[in-house]
Order: sequence, then C-alpha cells, then structure tokens
Amino acid sequence: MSTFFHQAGTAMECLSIPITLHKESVLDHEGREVHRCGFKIGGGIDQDFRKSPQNYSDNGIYVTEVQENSPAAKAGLRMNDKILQCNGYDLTMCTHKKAVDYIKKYPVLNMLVARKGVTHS
Amino acid sequence: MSYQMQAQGRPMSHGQYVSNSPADLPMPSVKEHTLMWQGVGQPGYVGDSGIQSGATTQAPSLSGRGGDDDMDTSEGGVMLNMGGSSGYSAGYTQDQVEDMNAQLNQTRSQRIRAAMFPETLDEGMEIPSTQFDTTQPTAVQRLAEPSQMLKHAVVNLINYQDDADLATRAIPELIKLLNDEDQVVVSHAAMMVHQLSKKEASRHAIMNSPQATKMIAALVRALSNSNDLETTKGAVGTLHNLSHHRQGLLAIFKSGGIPALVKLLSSPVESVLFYAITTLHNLLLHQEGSKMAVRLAGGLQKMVALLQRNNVKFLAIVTDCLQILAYGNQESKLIILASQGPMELVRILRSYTYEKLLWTTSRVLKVLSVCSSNKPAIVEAGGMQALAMHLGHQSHRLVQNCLWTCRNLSDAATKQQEGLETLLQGLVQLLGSSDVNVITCAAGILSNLTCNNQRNKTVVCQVGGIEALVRTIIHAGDREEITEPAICALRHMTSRHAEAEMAQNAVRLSGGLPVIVRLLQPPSRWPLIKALIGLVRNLALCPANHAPLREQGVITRLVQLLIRAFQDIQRRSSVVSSGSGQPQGSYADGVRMEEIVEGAVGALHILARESHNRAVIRGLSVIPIFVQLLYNEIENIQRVAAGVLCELASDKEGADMIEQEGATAPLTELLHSRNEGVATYAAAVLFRMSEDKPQDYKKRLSMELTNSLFREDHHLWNGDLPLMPPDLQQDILAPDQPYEGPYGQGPPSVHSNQDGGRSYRQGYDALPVESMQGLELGSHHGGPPPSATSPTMGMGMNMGHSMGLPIQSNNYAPVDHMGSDLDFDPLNHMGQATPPQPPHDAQAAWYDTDL
Repeated sequence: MSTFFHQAGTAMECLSIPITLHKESVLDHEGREVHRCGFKIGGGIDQDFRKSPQNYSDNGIYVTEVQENSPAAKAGLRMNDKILQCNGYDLTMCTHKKAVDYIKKYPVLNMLVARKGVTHS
Repeated sequence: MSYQMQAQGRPMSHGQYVSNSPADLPMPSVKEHTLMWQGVGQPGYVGDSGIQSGATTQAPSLSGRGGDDDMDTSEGGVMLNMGGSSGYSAGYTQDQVEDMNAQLNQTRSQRIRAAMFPETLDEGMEIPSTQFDTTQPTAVQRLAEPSQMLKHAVVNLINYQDDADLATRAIPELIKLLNDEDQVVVSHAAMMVHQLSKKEASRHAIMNSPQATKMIAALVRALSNSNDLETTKGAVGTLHNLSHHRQGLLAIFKSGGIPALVKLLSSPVESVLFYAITTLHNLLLHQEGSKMAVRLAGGLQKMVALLQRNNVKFLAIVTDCLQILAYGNQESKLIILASQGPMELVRILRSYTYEKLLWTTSRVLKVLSVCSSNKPAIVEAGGMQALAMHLGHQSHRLVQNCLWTCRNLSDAATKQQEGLETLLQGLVQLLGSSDVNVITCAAGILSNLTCNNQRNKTVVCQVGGIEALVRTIIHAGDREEITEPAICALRHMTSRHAEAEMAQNAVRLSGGLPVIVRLLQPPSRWPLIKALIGLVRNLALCPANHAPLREQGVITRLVQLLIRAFQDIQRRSSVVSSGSGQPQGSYADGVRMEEIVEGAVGALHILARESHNRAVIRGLSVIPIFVQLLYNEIENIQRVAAGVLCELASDKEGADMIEQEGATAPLTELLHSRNEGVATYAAAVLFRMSEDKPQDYKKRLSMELTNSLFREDHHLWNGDLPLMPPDLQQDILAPDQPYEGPYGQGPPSVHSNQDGGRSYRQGYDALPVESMQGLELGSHHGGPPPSATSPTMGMGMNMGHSMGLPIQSNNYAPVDHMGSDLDFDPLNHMGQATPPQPPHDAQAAWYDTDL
C-alpha cells in the first residue's frame, strides 16, 4: 500500500500495469489539430492532496476522469489510476504542470500505472 | 456332529396351543442339515438349538448361560401371555403345560432361524407364531433385527479381511504391470486397480501400503501418458475412490496427481471429466497445498471454460472449486476475470433453477465482487439483474449470498443501469423480512443504489420505498446497522430528483418524523446522527414539514448537537494551538465534528425559512455560535452560517440580535471571500441589518458592497448577471443616480453545474460506500470529506425572502477566469465545459487538467 502513500523522492518498488495510449487527432474549437488523450489528471508535488475531492493520499499524478470511448478508455486507463511513469519520465516526483507537459509531448504514451485493488490487494 | 434321525414329523401343535397355522406342519427331509444344525438327536436335545444346550451354533447372542434364564423368563413370559393377554381361562393341567412347552421348544429354533437367517428358510414353510398379543412382539421378534445386523457385520468382517489380504499381495505386482510398456497391459492393470479401489478393504490396503506413493505415481503416469480410454477411466476412477480418504488425498497430492487431473479437465469423455473434477474438488476441500497446485497447473482457466456445460450437478462442483480457489486470492480473481468468468457465472444464475448450483454460483460471485476489477465486469454482464431474480427464493442461504453480492456490487452500479426496477422492487419487499441480516443488506443496497442516481431514486419512491423504509426504521429501534443505511436511503430520496417533494411529504405521512427526531437522541452514534441531520435538512425543504418538525423539538436537538460539536472543535483547536503539530479534524466514530456543525447549521438554515422556527431559534441563544462560525476557516461552514443569519435577519428582532453579537465585522471580512455564496450571503445579511440605519450609512454600505462584490479580480462564475437581489440592486440605484455599472438589467441566470464530480453536495448524497472486504457485514458509512465548495450563482433570485434554490456545488474546478472584461452573455456560457484555468492564487488548492 505504500504505492499510494508514497513520499515523493523516496525509493519505491511496486507492481504496475503497462498502458499504451495512442492519442487521437481532433480539431479543437478553433479548428487547430490537437492530439487528444481523453483523460484528466490531478495532483503533483505542488498540489495539496488533502484538498482533493477523491481523497487521494499522496502527491502523485492521478487520473481523475476518463472520458467514454476516448483513447484513454480504449487503452485501459481507469479513473483513480496513479501514473507512475510516462515515456520514461518519472511522474511520482514532479509538479502538475510538468506532468501535463510530459503527457502532451508525444503522440503515443507508454505509461506505467498503479491501480488499487489490482496491482496490490 | 452325529445325530440320529428321529422320526419325521415331529409332533407339532396339538392341544390348546394357539397357532395361526394348520395343525400339520410338513417337515421336508431336505431340511436334514437344518435338523443337524439344530442338534436334533443330540443327547440333551430338547428340541431347540443353542438356547438350552449351550452348544456352539452360529447364533452367538443367544447362547450360553443366559440362555437358561432367557428360556425361563421367556417361557414364563409365554405362560403369562398365554394366561393373561388373550383372556385364556386359566386351568391347564401340568401335563398340558408341559406338552405346550415341548412344542414351543421345538419350534423355537425355527423361529430364531427365521429371525436371523431368513434366507435359509424355505418358501412356504410356516412356523407357528408365538405371538399372543398382536401388539406386543415376542422376545425373538424383538431381537430379530439386531441379530440380523450382527450377522451382517460378521460376514463383512470376514470378507474385509479377505479383501485386504488380497489387495496387499497384489499391489506390488500391479505396480509393475502399470509401469509396463505395453499399453494393453497397462490398461488391464488400471482396470483391475479400479476394481480393487471400489471395495473399502482393498482401498485401505492400497492407501496404507508402503508402496502407496509408487502405486499412485504409476497411476498418474498412466494417466498422463496413455491415449487409451480404458486406462484413463480406470486410473482416474481409482484416484477418485482414493480421494475420499485423507491418506489417499495426501498420496495423490504428493505424487503430482494434480497437474495430471487438471489436464484431464479438457477430456471430451464425460465420465473421465466427472471423475477428475470430483477428485480435484475433494483435494481442494481437504488437502493442504492443493489450491496453489491447481492454480499453478492452470486449473482456473479450464474450470471457467467448463462452465459452459449444462449438467447442473457438475456445474455445482465446478463453481464450488472456483469459489475455493478464488477466496482471498487476488490473482485467481483476476484470472477468472480474464477468462470471462463473470459472464458465464451470470448466465448460470439466469438459466438454472437447481438450488445448490445457484447457491455455489452466488458464492463465487460474492468472492469476486470484492475485487474492484471484477466488479464492473459483473455489473456489465447484468449481474445485478440476475441476482435480483433470486431474491424471493425459498432458500435462505441463496438469498443471503445474493444480497451480500449485490451490496458489494452496488457502489459500482450507480452510474448506469436501466432495468434495475426488479431489483429495487425486490429489495423494498425484503425490507419486510423477519431476518435481521436480510433487512440490513437490503437497506444498505438501497442506500448505495439511490446515491446520486435520479432514476433509481424515482423508481424506489414509486414502488413504495419510502413507506417501507420508514416502517423498517420504526421496527429497528436502536439497531444502527439497519437504521443508518435506511436513513441514508431516505436522505437520498428526499432530494434532487423528480419525486423528491413527494418523498418529503411521504415521510411525514408515514409517521416518520417522530422516529427520526427520536433517533437524534442518544444512544445514536455520530454516523447515524450525521445522516439524520442531512435527512432533516431535506425534509425541511418541504414547507408542510416545518410545523411538525418544530413540534417534535428538532430545532432544540439540532442546536444541542451543534453546540456540542462546536465545543469539541474549539477544545481541539485550543489544544493544538497551545501545542504543535497539524490540526487534524476532530473525529468521533469516524465523523468529523466539522461535518456535524455544517450539517446542523445547514438544516437550521432551511428550517429558518419559516417564521415560527426563526422565533424558536432566536430563543435558543444560538446566534452567538453562528457568528463565531463566521470566523471558521472552512468555507462550507462560513456559507451555512452566513446563510442561516441571512434568514434570521429577515425579521427585525433577528437582525438586531445579530448586530448585537458583533457580526458586522466578520461579515464584512467575508464579503471579500472568493467563495461567491459566502460573499453573497454576507452581503445580504449586512444589507438587512442596515435597514433602519441612517441614509448615508446605507449609501456607504452599498458602495462597499458593490466594490467588494464586483471587484476586478473576483472570480465571476461564467459571467453571470447581477449577483444582487433585485431589492438590493434597487437601493444601489438611488433615484437620483443612474447607476452606470458594468451590468445591465436582466434576469439572473441560474446555472446548475453538475461537474463537481464527487463533491460534497448540498443534497447530502454521500459517496456510495466501499464494498465489503472480507464479505462480512461491515459498517456502511463512507461519506466523502467535506471539501471546499462554491455554490452556483443561484443567488440572484428571491433573496428577499428565502433562498429557494437548491444549492449545487462546484468545487475544485476553479471557475472561468474572466479577467477584467465581464462577458454578459449568459446563454453562451450556460453549460459550456470550458477547461478550467489554474487560478491565479499562488496557493493552488487542488485542480485537474484536461488532456
């Protein structure tokens, strides 16, 4: 359970689920082409997890919403997953903005994700 | 033994001997050996066998010394019977009596033989019965059955020993044959071993022999290597028979039988399959270490595949195996999920009616339903509806398991789900059950399913759920495991759906109000009280409930609870401030006192819409506490406190009392709150308090209010129109001063933004409770912590007399940042999901980003 009570910066070892997400190209409201993932993240070492409505227990990056039929849903991402790594970047110790940047960077995301009840009982 | 044949045809049945048979009894000469056996012609033969003579016969129980006594008593008994029960006139001569005795003796052996060895009698031979009274059996008759049983036991013992000897001698030879290269030889050897294993003695011989492991290893090898059906059948049949005993199980386990048996689960031959699964079942039930072995051998996947067969008894065994394997083992549950287990199990529940199968299947689903990955799969496969089909079943264990499973699943089933009507109706009916466990489960499931789900709420109301719940609560008395979920369910159903108002009335009409207020008293614990406060608040939304609630004394009680919770918070924060460390919320029974405060003040806020209630509240001297609460750091608490003061301030006396408590200062502070609701309520209170102040004061106040509410960097929610109530606005627009503010006139728009996610809503819908780990009847509460919420801008309307709108909450997603130019087209922004920008505050509370 220390996966979800992780002190950022300390070493941690846990099982994880690999998820490969292929973003889809959509046009945003202004007509520009963007790569959409279809999920929302919250958290980060600059945030206060105690104020999270989902009651997260540490400063990791969490998936707070997965839209239906989105690339994220199809890739197997679920709400409240904690993203440990994305394309090699460590998301257990980064700010919210940095996490957003890393995720937006590439069209294909190879993520390692921890999920309560699955990667640990 | 030698004998002399006496004359044929012994004298029988003469005289007054009562007999049901004709006087003449033929004694065919084929009965010689029986005569011999009787000892006829022996010296000392008195006409019967072992009783008198004590000669060794095969009737041990009637031999020996005791025989004499028996003889005597029985004879005496016979005499008595003869004399008494049949009403025979007394007066036999001694000769006649002796004569009768002799005849009795002669037939005695026959009677006894008939009793013990009926198979040796000839057909048609009739023995005179000595039974004089048909209701009273004779001694021989009474002893007939026990002696027959004894005879069988002795026969068995003799055979047993024979079998055991035979088997012991044969085993080494059989082992050699089983290991032979020639398949035909192996096949015959396997069949022979199978035959041996059918009988108990030889079976034990096999198991207890020092070469048992070798034997079983040979069988297992034969199983794995042979393609021949007979060999397989023989081997697996043997293993099956051996698996009924502990040593057999151990031997099978140690010889690596499990992988071989699991392999057999793919066999197309039914008998092999049945033997294999039954053997595995026995191993799983009784042998340590089997579970791990079966899992390692890939047994789970095969068993799930077997669920497609349609023999109900077979399926019952398979599902029981799955349940044993999955219980407490996360990995197994995931494997079952990956093999499409949930779908098959739900199909079984739908298709069959054999009770044992339904029961075992429901147990597997129960075990799976605590796994968060399996839960959605089961729900999607229609699990809830399938379980609902059996809620009315006669079998109690089935109903109980279905209920537990439903309860575990119910927190995952709230989102979707058309077609839950049957389930909901079934649950409402089960509330009337006499079993406490059933009621508890049903209430818990209803509470979860109605949480945040409009459709379910409406359905339950329509099937009479409110009345049923109120009845349940009344009957439950002090049992909080029942009352708490029931109250939560009522709380859900009295707000935010089409029939909410009907529900609020229905609670009153079913006589629920007295019991609800009574439950607010001790010994109720905090979780229940918190739920009750939420329910009271919802009930107070209905004006017809105001007077009845007041008459029950709910206001007084709410104020008591408020005071107690408030003092608790004060005490804790003073302890913290004197010491060091972070102030955690003050918890009691898992409920934070801040939640109680917020709930109670919120309920009082709604109750204060009615003027009599306001008078009561004023009389309870609680206004100082409200004012104190304005200083609290939690925005929700500030909001409800300002709200209740706003209501109270609508009366002159109230306004005066508020001002006397020095509320002006904190309220002025709150004008600058970034929470719109807080600011608006604060403004309203200040405005009302200023009614009879001098004009210039009013003007200054207006300016102040305008500035604070309309200032540049204040977050305006979707560019909504006037935040001021019409009357407030009018004052700002002093007649000789055209107000050139950036706002036009227009109807304030009311938005209800639902994307607050799982925020702590005003409807006091708690989060669905976590599923019951460990399948126990656990506690129910698991509400979300209160988070900082900000209400929608429904304030615009009707602030003059009451805050009529249900206040939604939109919490952590910060509102659209409009900057300096205020966009006045509410239609554009209605319901638009603009991505929230990070707020400019350096102190980012918590937000999420869309990607």
